[in-house]
Amino acid sequence: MDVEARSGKPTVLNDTTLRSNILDPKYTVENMGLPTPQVLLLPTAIVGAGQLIGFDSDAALHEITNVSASYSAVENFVMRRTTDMRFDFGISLVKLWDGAFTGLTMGA
Amino acid sequence: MAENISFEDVTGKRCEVPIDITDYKEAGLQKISLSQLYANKFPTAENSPSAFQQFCAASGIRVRPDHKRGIPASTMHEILHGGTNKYMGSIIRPDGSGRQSTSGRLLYPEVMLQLIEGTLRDNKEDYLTPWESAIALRYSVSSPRVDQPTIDVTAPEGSAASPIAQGSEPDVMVSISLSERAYKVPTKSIGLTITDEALQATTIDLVGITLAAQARGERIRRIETDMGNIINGDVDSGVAATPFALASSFTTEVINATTPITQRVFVKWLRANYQRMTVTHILVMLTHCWM
Repeated sequence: MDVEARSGKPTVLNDTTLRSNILDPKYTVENMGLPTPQVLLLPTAIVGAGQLIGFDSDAALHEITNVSASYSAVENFVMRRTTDMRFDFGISLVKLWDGAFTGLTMGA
Repeated sequence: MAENISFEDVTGKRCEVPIDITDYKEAGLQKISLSQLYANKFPTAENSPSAFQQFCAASGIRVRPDHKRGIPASTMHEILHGGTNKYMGSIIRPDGSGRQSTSGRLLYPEVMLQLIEGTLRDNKEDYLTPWESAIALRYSVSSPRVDQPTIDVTAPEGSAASPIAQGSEPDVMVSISLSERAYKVPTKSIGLTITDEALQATTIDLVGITLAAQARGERIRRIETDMGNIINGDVDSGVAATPFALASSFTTEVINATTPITQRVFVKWLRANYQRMTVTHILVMLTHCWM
């Protein structure tokens, strides 16, 4: 609600596109450098109230996946011809570069 | 317990090589997967299947059913008790000695690991798909302990590029070093047991889907927990907390609980670090968004 209802957000009420009697020369800012950020939701316990965290997907996150089977489990499975098997897996997301993150505290 | 198995090598020549249970140990020592080990040991031509794929085909492991030819995926009974090659026949020698081959059993764990790894890596679910594009770098390891490189670009950021004399060394360097502590990927384990009665009815693709479903839930939990560490910092892993700027630092407008953010603050914040980064993603709790 806070981001969407931010004060000063351009709305249809101050749109003069269809009112040709108003002199309103249009211009565009070409190098503003504002993409359309994708919003990802996280639980409140992780992103606190009043917080926005922005990051650059080109350099922010590094995901490491470990999928392995312990040798003893494979050996048991193959040599002793058991019908049980154990697979180990893990996944971890780590910060690649501190500079790719920026935070904003709203309401203060 | 070595099994001889044939494959087409890099020159296109068919040759027979021994594969062995200790290959798993060798792959583990080299911190690579079994299929990577075979790719290194038995290179194949660029456009032909990898050695591991050829071994699976030669052993008759059919990970997916072939509906066009009416061949079902291998049942767990075929893999555990031999007979995986009844449709293929390529490994059975004229004297029938290859029929009780354990190669199916030998290759099966790696096939399952690949299925789980594939599910963890590429996911088409609503929740996980946007995260796919948010991750800059992704790699797979076959050991829970990994060395995490630390990138330090403080020097190049702090000073603007300066003119340089011919032949001299640059003033500022990006430093990439290994962190002092090896990083441990928290690892979970899935045990799989199939009853004798179910062996005939259970196919390898069904087992793969079941194991992967478990791994998928784990991935969502890990993403949320790890993002918590990245945002709030984690002393144990040496991760610094994300710095926060106050909304009021971007404007002279009144910022309070009633007006927590203005258009000016939002645009200025998005653009604040334009020389260093572009805000492609924003993390937020649901109530701050559109509810």
